[in-house]
Amino acid sequence: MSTKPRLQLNLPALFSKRILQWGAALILLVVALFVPTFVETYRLHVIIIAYFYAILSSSWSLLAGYAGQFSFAHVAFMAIGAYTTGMLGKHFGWPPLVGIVFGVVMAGAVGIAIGALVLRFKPAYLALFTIAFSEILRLLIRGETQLTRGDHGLHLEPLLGADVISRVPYYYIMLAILVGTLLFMHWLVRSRIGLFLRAVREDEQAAAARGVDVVRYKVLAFAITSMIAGLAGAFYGHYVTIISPNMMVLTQMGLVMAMAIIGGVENLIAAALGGILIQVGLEELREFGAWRLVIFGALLMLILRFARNGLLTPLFRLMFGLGPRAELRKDTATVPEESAPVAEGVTADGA
Amino acid sequence: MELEIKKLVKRFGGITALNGISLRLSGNELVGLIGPNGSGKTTLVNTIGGIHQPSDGEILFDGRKIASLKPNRIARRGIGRTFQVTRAFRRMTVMENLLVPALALHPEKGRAFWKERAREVLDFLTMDHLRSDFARSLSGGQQKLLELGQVMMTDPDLILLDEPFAGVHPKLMETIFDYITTLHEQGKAFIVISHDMTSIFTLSQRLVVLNYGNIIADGDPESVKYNESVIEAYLGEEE
Repeated sequence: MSTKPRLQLNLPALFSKRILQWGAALILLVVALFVPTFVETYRLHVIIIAYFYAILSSSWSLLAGYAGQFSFAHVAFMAIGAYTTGMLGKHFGWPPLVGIVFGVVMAGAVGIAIGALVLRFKPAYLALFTIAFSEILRLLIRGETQLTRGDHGLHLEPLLGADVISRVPYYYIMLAILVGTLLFMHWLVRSRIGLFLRAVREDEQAAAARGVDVVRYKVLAFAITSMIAGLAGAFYGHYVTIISPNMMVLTQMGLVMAMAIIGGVENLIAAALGGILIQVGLEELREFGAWRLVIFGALLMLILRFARNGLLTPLFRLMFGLGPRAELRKDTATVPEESAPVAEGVTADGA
Repeated sequence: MELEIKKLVKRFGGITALNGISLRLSGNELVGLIGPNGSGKTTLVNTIGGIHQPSDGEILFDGRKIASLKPNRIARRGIGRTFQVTRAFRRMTVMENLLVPALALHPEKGRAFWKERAREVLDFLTMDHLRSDFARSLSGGQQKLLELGQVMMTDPDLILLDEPFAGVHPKLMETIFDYITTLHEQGKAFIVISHDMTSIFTLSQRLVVLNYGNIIADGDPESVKYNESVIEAYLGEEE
């Protein structure tokens, strides 16, 4: 029986993986740079907010997907960044840029304190502790009305001053923060710190036995991702100019987690794109009212059941040839050749 | 290398897993640690390695106390170990698995140096062709070898091996046996836990037998083989 030759687009064979990945990222960036030229003002606002969520979902994916630390306080750290700069501006008249810097520092400091306190225990404690911390912080912000104005909301100065009405500069600033944080996190996961974080995620005790200072690297990851969330929150505050304790309710945290999980929690770009696509998608489906949330919830459940790497990570694997290189093989693969040959098809690079 | 364990006690709630054990190793001794299930072998290794904190007693390595140190600090002192059930980093490549201990303990030498060293280790273990594969795709025996490779990367003075032959293909068992012998000849000291009596009796210069958290025999394999307490511990008391 003769078989017809099939036309296969084997991109990894045509280009190196690295070139493909960076090429795709560059195309996305170029498209993003031109977005303000073909998108109306309201949609541009939606995309700015989507970028904000992308920063949150990608930084949460660094914490949960790479370091294996399941925190429910990511939006709380975002709120710490926003409220720090907001209160410094309101009570001391500090300019937004200085406030943003302090917001990031405050989020990092609280992150280190919580991390040092909880991260030496089992992961379940981190989850429980961060839920409690988020709720306590939210109630504190609601209650301390003299400082935070509680549910009335705290007004912040626009980052670029009241004269700048256009959303375009804000778009580029949020895009720059997103790209900057993604590049930083990409560098981090490829550095030895990233190597240790992944080892800790796989097996804390084994990582410690291999010489990794487990608590130190967990706290480091927690502090870094808290600072990134704080940066996003501080800038967000100076963009929307009013913040309230509602920004840190648990459903917001659930949304950020869902964005990362649907995109792909073990891939920074996938998690960021998950954030963008879901935020834009929810906005586009607004006419469906509450049904869009039902669809969104159902999608999340299906993904958790059938695509644990999210929707985008398998797509990236298909396009860029990422992923495991060999299937389970028998012991005979390593024994001397005269007694048992190396498993068929297994080569040096698993090709 | 000198390891001195003094009256080591480890309790888990009401259960005494180690009951005042004293043991001394020096030079490049290759000590086999045997005993019935639940005798405290793995607890002893875990306590030396810092996973368990002792309830009482002292552990000195090269004259310095290590009993209260965390596992990473103990690894830094020059003690490497493998686990009873292999604990390679499953979703990391073989090469990355080897780089973790190397970069954690000696980052100053840089990634390029350690990659080169990892290739040498993989060559030694005849696993170089698997360097880009995820650890989870390896067989159980290969994962045992990978753990041995992780230990070799940092060149420790004392290596603790917990059941290196368990669940391994007989041919691969021979390979692991040969690697241990080679490393021992290169000057490494070993404590090897095994239930495989043929291998452990052939491999060891000295055998220590545990039962109910106590050392019931300590000597050369030939004398231990005919020790009445050992026979009793394994076969039970004569009626």
